[in-house]
Amino acid sequence: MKSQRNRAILGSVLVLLVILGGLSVGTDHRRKACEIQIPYLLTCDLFPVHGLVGSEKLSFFEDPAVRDAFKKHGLAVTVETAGSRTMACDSDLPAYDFAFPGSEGAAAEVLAKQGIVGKPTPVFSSPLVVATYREVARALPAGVVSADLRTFDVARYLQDVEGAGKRWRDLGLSAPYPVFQRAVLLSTRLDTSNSAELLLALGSYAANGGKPIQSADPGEVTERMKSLFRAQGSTGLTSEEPFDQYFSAEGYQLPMQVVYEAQFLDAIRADADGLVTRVTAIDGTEVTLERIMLYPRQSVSSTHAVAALKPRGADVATLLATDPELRKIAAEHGFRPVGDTKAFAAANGEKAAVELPGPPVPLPPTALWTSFLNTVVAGVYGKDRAGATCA
Amino acid sequence: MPRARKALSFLLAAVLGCTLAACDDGDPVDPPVLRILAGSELEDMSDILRDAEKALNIKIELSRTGSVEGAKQLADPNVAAQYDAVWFGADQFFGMWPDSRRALLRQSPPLMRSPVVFGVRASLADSLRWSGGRSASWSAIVSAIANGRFRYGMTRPDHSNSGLAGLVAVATAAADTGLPVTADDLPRLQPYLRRFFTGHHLAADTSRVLSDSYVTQVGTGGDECGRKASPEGVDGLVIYESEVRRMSQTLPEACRLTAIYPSEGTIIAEYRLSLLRGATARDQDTFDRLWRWLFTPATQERIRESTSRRPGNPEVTADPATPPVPQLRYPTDPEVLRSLVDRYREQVRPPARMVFVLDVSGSMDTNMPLLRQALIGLTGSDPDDPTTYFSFLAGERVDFVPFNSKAQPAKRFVLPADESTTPTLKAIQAYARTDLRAQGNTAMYDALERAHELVRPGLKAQSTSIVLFSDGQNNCGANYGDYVKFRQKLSPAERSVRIYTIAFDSGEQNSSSCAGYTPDQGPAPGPAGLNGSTNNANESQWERELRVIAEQTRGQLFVPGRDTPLYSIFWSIRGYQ
Repeated sequence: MKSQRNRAILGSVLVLLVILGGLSVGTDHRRKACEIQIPYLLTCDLFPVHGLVGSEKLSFFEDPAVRDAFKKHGLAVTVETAGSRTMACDSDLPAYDFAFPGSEGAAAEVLAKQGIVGKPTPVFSSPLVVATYREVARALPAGVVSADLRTFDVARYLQDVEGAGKRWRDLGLSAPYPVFQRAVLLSTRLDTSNSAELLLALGSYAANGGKPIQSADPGEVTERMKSLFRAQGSTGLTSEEPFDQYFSAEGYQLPMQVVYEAQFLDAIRADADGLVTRVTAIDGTEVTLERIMLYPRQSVSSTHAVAALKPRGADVATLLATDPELRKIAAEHGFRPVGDTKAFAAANGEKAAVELPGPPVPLPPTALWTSFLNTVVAGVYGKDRAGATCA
Repeated sequence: MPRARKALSFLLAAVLGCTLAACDDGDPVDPPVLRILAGSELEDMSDILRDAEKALNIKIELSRTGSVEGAKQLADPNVAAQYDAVWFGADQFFGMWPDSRRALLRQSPPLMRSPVVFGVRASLADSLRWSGGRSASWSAIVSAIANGRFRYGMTRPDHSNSGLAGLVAVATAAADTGLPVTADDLPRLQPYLRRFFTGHHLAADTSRVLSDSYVTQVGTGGDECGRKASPEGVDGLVIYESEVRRMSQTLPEACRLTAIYPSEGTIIAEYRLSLLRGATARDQDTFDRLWRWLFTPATQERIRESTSRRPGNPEVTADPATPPVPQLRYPTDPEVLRSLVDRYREQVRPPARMVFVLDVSGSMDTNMPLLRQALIGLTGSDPDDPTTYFSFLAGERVDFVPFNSKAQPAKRFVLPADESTTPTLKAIQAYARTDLRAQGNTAMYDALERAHELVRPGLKAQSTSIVLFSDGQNNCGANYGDYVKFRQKLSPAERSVRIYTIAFDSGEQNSSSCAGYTPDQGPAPGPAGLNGSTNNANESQWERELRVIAEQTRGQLFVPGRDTPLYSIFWSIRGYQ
């Protein structure tokens, strides 16, 4: 009992000190509240900020350097992940200070769902790339991949590989690659995820003869796109993390998939040796998985935009858009900070194409696009999935 | 403001709280509870989950089920409300019931993986020349089946993920398009699937029950490891790699299974933990802490060592004994799964014949509505109603033998094989509602003997079963000893007809016996039963009789508890039929 009483007295003293400290520093709480840290007596007082972010940004938010950078501005940022397209449906959205999906559209939807007037803040972008292996890229028919193994031609892929019904074994690959299966360009799920929607943008543009679609159900193009996504099959219902598997010793399961450039660059940053893995097939054959990324000849990018739901979420958005340190770290994680090519080039100049090989693919008007997307989703995943991200 | 709030709570704790002992331990609140519905095979995670409870200061309540059956039941909001999370090898089948799919809120990454493989006795794999590369094509496997060289056990695809995954994999390989199987492929796959299912001799509604059945069979099958011990004797199982490796630790060497990896690929279970809608903020926090703990390299290594599953976290290396196996994928549209399962249920399996031997003695009086509801629960004809899933199928034959002071006249219903089954299902409903009345005593064995006689003409022992439902001690007509003598005169095929028994405690016993009835002692209370169940000291003679009757046919005794409605027991039994 005695020690408890002592502790109670000590506690009360501490409380008083903390309150006094709070009064003296607390008037300017938003900025630099923590630059002077007095251990024990005046612990750095951080304001917790809680965000819902696309899973591709988890490693950025978990980087201690990012935490420290936010700390300097008095913010302790913690995040949870969700598919970009499902964020607007999260019933707990009001519990978050900000949402940070992989597209401006998804961020705008979050704001609309919460009845918030305002625009999302675009902070980074990242182009869609094809993550594959040197051996696989070489096995694809000439013209699909450039001779220097840098670019990928979606139109030629649809014509010479997908449309021609080629399997991996037809292209000369052997186990442990899934040689029985079609040579499919994989993505995440189209009904929940943003990167798959970008693949649909590239694919429908190419299948429509190099023009954006003109109607919500452009017959032949719709059917081609349904086939493209059905061919992938399903590995999970509401979320998929194929990229982590691609970078593991089980990468042979995923010979070719679309990912964000930032995911690839971030993975190399974390583990430079991870680019090459050797795998022994069941029959004893040794296969070397040497990871490379290819840039689509017509480019398409995600814009990662913050939807601020509360004032501290807005602080996070402003910092991500303007703070040089955070932008530098973001570039190191492979993102392209909006309006700051230099930061990206400095961090990734040797590993990435700072200038994209082709112009951005033009997109049709939003309403027409959404309707087309829903048609394809219903055809691939079942009627109840069209526009059903908010069940 | 958080500063002020934190300070205030600290102050309150300092002033008021510290006279309480709880103050020393920090959090005085009870640990949060996460109620998880999990696949049956996750019994092997018990120790790890217990450590998770300690490490995270949470409580985990794990219920196990066949995954597909579990997913179906989650369409019912009342069932979904009993759980916070689900943990199955896959989730694609949730899409067969849109309400079940909507019940999923959020998912973890794959927490561990296990491919569905052919577990084959090593000597047989050698003689089929499969063992060299530990790999064989699905077509080689199916032709060995068609030649009668390979008989296997597999869970029912409409109840369990491992069976569904096996069915999807074999259909995908048979379609041979290199694409996930589609609805358009199915008609031409029918002959191939039929051949595949000719080797299906042992079924169960969960993976764990299936592997336990194999272990039991081996234990009683001598040198042949069960192959010739009974019509259900099998050479191996279609089941998770992890179950094959787990069983190998205990089976006699000659009967040990070796994993054969289909060369076209197979479905790989991924074990994502899924949070259900309606979870509170606290549940979500517990859910996140749990899956993150399970995903840590240390736990992942432990899972790899103690469950033989492959790690889900790509940072953790796989056991070198688990070779690369190409992953086949479920189709994107769950309607394809539904069609595939329907084909299995309606055409691939020989239509089931079943006799329901039903206790309608006086003691059942107040519980008749439960029995009627359970029977009507097997007659759904609306394809959008999830309960339809367990209903009687085209081509099946259903006999009812009600009994009280004597066996009542039997009533037979045959569902037409190729036209609408609705009129027959309606007739069964009408029978259950109006013809079953409770009165009199309990002449159970008279009725059971009658059931054996009913299945005798043109007996197909494998697809025939008897369901014996009773609420109390036999006290009329033949006694237990008489039935034992009756069984001795049956042919071996007749004796192999499985009997599933349900001991339904209605809380009342019929007071007096019929005139001329000679009670006996029933079966001796012996050691563990055939299925490894142990004798319960409190087991009544009546329950003991029902248990022995079921176990000697490799059937099973079901005892409905307070939490298990009678209709769900009937559904489970449908998993075996």
